[in-house]
Amino acid sequence: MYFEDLNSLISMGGHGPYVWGAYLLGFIVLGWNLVSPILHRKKTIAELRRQLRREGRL
Amino acid sequence: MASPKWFYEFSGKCLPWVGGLALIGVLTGIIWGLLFTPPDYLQGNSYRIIFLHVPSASLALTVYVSLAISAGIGFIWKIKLADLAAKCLAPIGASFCALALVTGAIWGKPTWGTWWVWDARLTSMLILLFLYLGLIALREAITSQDTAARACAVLSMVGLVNIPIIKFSVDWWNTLHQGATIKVTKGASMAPEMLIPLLISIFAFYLFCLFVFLIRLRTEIVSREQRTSWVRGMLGVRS
Repeated sequence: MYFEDLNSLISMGGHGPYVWGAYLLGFIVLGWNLVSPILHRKKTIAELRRQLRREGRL
Repeated sequence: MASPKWFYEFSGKCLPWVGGLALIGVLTGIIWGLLFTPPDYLQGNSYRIIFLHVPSASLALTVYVSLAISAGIGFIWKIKLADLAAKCLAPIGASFCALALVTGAIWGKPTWGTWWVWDARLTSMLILLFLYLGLIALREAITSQDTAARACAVLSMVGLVNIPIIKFSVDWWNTLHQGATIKVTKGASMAPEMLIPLLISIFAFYLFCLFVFLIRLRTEIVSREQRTSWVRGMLGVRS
């Protein structure tokens, strides 16, 4: 590892808030990209099943 | 081959592999970049944002080109799957375009001393974000799916003109933004210990995008093909 200890990793020579802030936002964007299509898929399939049940096919 | 059923089954088989590789790649690229690369001699540690910023910006452009090509194919040859692909690509591209802009602003503050300048690269990238948001809003605003597809195809193809402007803005104009780090024709102007994790990160972000794109597209296929026997069979309809 490049950093000697945890403190220098967190502070990054004064650039810590910028670097960690950017990565936090990156994590949020990746998370949203992953979770939102999975939820949308579950909702769509549940909706189709409900519709089929109403039509008496399920 | 372009049949939705075939695509649905084939993509279902690829999904776990694409997702697994993307996860390993993103973790490797980011942890390597954050913890194991040396700091830049000019920018110090702030440059570590590159492992997030460059993949996002690259994706924002590539996703837009793919979107416009898909929409164009759907428009000209009336292929349903192509229009669905364009629809699924818009929110993904918009989110990475926003991430590239925001991480760029965060990187700009310690490096340039300002969050934002109206230079050619930053402004054209902001226009790309508005194009993405415009495409999403346009599709939402039109009830008829066929009309929405045609309108979005035209807008996305007109918007293509912005892509070379973004790409070459750093060469055509004097921008505060630095030139390209990796050039296909000239190789990379970067030390290998920084370049390798950057390339891993770029590759992994592309895989991640492919992964979430496939999930979105599969849902759209199920929704659009809900009257067909194979979707009904999958949902458990007794025949």
